[in-house]
Amino acid sequence: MKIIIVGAGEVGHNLTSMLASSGHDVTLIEQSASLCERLDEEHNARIVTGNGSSARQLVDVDVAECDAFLAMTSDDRTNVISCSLAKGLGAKNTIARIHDATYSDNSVINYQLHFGIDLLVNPEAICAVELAKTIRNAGRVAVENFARGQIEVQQLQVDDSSRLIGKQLRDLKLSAQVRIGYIQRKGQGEVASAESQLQAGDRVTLFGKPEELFELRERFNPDQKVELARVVLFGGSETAISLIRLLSSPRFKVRVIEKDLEKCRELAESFPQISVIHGDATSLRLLEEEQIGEADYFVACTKDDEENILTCLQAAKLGADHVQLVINKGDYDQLLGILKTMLGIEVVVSPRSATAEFMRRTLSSESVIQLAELPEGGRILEVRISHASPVVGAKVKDITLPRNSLFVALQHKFKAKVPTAEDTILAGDRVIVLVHADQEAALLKRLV
Amino acid sequence: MNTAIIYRLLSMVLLALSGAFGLCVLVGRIAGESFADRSLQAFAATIGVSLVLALLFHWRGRSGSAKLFRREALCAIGLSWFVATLVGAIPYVLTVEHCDLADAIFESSSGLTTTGATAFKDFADFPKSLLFWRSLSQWVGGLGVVVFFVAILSSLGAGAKILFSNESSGASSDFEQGRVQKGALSLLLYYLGISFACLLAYKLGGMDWFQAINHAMTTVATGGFSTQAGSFEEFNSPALEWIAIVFMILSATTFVYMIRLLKGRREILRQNNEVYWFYALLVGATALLTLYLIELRGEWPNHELLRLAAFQATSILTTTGYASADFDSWLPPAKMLLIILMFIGGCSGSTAGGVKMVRVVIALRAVGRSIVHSFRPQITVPMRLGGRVLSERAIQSVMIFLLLMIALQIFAMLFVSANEPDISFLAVFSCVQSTLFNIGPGFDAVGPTENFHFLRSSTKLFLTLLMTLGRLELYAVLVLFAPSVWKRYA
Repeated sequence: MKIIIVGAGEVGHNLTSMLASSGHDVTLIEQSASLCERLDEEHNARIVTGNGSSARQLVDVDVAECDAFLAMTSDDRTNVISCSLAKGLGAKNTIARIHDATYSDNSVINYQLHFGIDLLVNPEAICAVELAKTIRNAGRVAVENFARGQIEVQQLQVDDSSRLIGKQLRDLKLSAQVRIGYIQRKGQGEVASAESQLQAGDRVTLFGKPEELFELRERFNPDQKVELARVVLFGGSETAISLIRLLSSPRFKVRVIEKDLEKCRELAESFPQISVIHGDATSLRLLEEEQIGEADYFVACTKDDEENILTCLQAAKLGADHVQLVINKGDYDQLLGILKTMLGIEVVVSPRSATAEFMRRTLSSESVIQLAELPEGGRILEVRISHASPVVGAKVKDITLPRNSLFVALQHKFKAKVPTAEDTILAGDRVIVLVHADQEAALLKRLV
Repeated sequence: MNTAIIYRLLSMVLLALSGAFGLCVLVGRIAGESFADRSLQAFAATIGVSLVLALLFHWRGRSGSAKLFRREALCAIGLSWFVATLVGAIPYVLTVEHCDLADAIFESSSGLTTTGATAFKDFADFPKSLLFWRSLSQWVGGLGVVVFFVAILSSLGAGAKILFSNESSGASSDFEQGRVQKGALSLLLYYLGISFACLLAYKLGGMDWFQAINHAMTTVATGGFSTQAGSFEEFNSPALEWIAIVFMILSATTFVYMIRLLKGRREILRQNNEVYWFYALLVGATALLTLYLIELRGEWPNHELLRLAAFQATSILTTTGYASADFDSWLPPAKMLLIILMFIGGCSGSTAGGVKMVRVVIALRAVGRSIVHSFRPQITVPMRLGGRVLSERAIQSVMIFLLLMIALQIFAMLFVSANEPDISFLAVFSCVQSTLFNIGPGFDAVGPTENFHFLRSSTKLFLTLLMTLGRLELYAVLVLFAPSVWKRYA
């Protein structure tokens, strides 16, 4: 695949390395000549010095023949212009990295349509989703998210006191945004159907919008109280902002510590529900003053990796229950294991690897990707619907799937939802299906 | 240093060389040699030696990472060339009667580095298989021993880029392809393409198949070995000479440039490129040489004079080294001109030797700029070439390279003349020049009708080193002599 990447920042440069070493034909455009010179030796890719938002430059690197165009600079506007130009010049697929929510707000104009951008990707937001996963679902097992956090998978145990016991699923009146997918009982796994009944002690795998899933918890286990979670964020970076948005429910008490006064003001203005503290979290006195020891979660998400690591250690020492941090530099990749095992840091995320993983999935030419494996033979697959697929144009209710398989999500043009019976499947969509291993072949025959 | 990867690369070079020797055996069989013959037995022994060495190196390098940094890449290239030279000398030693070891090494190196100087008086009587090896070694060395692997081995990753840029005079950044493997592969295809075209042209021009194959290989490699003692003079065919001129020029033109043109990219024609300077210089030199010939022969301008001038100018400027006339007997100004052409050489990123046209152009313009700077120190003059602006560092490295080459030539002359007190200044000068710049023939005692046989063994070995230095553009060989490369922490 011929791929052009604009911008050799931490994200662009690691994408180059990942894509080039997996055999793609990569061209990287970067403005700084000295950076180019250094990168030229590190990557098996063509490194071009130039302006990625100049049409002349794009023509020079044969943008018309490229299969994917990734604008990955840290400047949103440059990315939008580059992608728009690339699309106009004939690039098949354009993907822009975006920080600001401005361009994903489509209420006035659809930016993606207007500029010809196929996909907006926000590495910081992907990171935030990773960080939010454990905070939002404290104590839950096996949380996975698909379609950039729009669909989440959770496992819940059915409590003795739940009123759902003994009823068929069709009678449960669950929200349309949630689907019960997989039921594990006494070492046996089964893909749920409308006739399945729940019993006490079952482990149930649920799919759906995160907030809807959270509301469901009570129905599975009425005794469980909704506990408040105290979250402290160090640094008012893009990741922090995305994380604050994800944690906007009143059950999270969010506190942000930020060095820059100007940034503090901005944060406080745009998020009135959180408390913003102007100060440096590397100072022990400040941490003690703000009672970090009482916090449930301490998340270090500044741009400075070294500060993140050390403040996390400090917070853990002071008694914060869970510590998480963001690592930006790829060079520290080999240390992640040590951070987790020896220093007790629970979650380490990086915008770089999150983006790399996301791109790998997006650019993969395979029509079927296995996203996760459930115990007792359950599998979650993402199937890309091609033009040749027999189900193109069919409504969900008209498609007869083999026994022990289920549609759990439908992704159309990067918008994911739990499919209803009336939804139509179009070419280019991706469907996420849950299937038992012995029915996998039969299901794929139906879809591909 | 990661020696494992160096061993593995060496082992692969040897493996490929044994393949090349196998090809020589095949050609020998077709030409009617039998396995009882000395020549084929020599090749069999050589294949044995290189396979054993390959196995040994492979075993030494069996474990260890495949990570290739600059230091390893440079050492791997330098060592590969030395190993290839030594192994390539074995067939000469075993086949030729009373063969001096230094002669064999000189001949092998002269082949691989596409120099084309010979140390054997009567090579025309060699068995066909050995003649074929002489030419094949030039063809392989033309593009580079390691480049072939860069094209094939994707496991080298980004290290392949460093290997490529250091062995070939072109830079990997000239490629339009993202992966250096694809770029190197397109070079390889182009090289094969012009080799075949050249072969057919020679055949149609009147050579027999064996001559055509050998000359095609040495022409596109700008090597200069011939199967005839008298080189192109012996054919006495204007058609063949013109064919040779065309293909020598083609092989000394930047390959990437030609590939782009073949792909139909007209816009690069408008760029100020070294190729234009090269062609302009060639036309100018031909015209001057024609004038000198007119004066020498006292004839009216005619086709023969023009052809002789064009052939000699092309052969020398592209550093091929074929001769269709004894230019040693030409007028002194003609010889002076040829000496200058020898120094300059072909375009970068081609098979030609010399210091490369692009460096000369950059140096001259830097000199011009420094003159302007002497009276207008504040003016900022960016240097553009081939559509891009050169960085100050690039200009500086060009100047240092030129200085190093000249210094090396002067030092080498001192050594050679001390070692060979009997030969004239011009002979010393030109035997150093023709080996360091990979040309082949020189003047006086090493003129186009002479050979290097009469030199002492130590001189020949020294010249062998010069050839490799020149072919690899110094650094890959010089690092081998830098003690800090071999130390653990230096």
